Amino acid sequence: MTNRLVPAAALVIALAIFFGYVSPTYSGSVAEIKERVMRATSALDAAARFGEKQNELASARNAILVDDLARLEALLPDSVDNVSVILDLTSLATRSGLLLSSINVAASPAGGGQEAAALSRVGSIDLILSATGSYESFIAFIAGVERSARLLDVTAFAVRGSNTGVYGYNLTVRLYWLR
Amino acid sequence: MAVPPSVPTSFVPRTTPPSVRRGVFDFGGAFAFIGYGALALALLMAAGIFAYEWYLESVEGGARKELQEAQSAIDAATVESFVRLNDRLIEGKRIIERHPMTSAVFDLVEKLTPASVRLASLSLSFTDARIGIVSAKGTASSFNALAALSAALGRDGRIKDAVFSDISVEQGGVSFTLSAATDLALTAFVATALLPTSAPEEPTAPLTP
Repeated sequence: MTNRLVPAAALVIALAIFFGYVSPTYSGSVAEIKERVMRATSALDAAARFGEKQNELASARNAILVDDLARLEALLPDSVDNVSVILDLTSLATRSGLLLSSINVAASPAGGGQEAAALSRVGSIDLILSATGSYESFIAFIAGVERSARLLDVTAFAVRGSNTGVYGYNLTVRLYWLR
Repeated sequence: MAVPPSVPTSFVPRTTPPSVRRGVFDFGGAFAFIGYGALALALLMAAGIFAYEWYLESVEGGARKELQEAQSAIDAATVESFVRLNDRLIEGKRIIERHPMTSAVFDLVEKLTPASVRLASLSLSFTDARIGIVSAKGTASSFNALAALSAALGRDGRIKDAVFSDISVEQGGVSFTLSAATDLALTAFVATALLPTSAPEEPTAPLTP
């Protein structure tokens, strides 16, 4: 009788070990750890790729001249800074022989609606200028605005004639910045 | 002759030893083999799982440590600067492609307007599709002068859909209102606006009332 009881007990213990520890551990905590290891390995791969990409981008950026980077930043600055634009336009008008009589700011009409404008990476506003001066002065002023280091679009203008050679001008200039 | 006592007096066959019995299955031994074998296997698997779990934890710990080092090596400011530069390049290109050269309109109007036509006002605005809408009011010395302007606009083609309206004969000439649209190429930020055009029939004059 004892000869059969001990092997039976061994079998019961073996089954208990298998179903009580081996199986739940393998499908439970071991599987979870394997999943975490896979995620960590994947993240490490991504980090390695990121490092390579960062080096590539750094090399590409270093290949751009510092002056060109500065010009690019001036072209599309990080902030609205419309005051400096107004100062620049006033200075340009003076050099061109044009007299600026008023400058107003208006929200730029957003293509695609307000939501699209809010999501856009670029912001824009319109400056509405009124000026008087000769035709040549106005042409010189327009040419200066078009070739401004900061990107300025003349989106509308109106010229009113006179008999004195001094005309009235209304001008809408759109300026942009990177949000 | 007497038989010695050590000599068997009769033949008694010996019984066959158990070890040489054939055809009898030892159930107890087999059961013991299975039981102990299963126990040994279970213990072995338990030890293997324990060791594997420990190994995976150590691998995970190493990976986490490497990941933390990799993350700490990432400079958020550098990444931000790359993103900003990328945005600036893309958006700058996009805006430049739409950048209107309005002075080209003046150049063209100057070239196409005969000296016998005076413009009293001129306005231009752009639609979302970058089409320039031109509107002008002026006076021509005669119908022929007005026709010359109309023909010049038609030949050039960069100021399209020119419609003359409100035409009336007044003292000193023919007054009119002009509405037209500009070609995209005229105001595009390329040198196309500076390409030579066909000369008007009459001498040109700047925008003068």
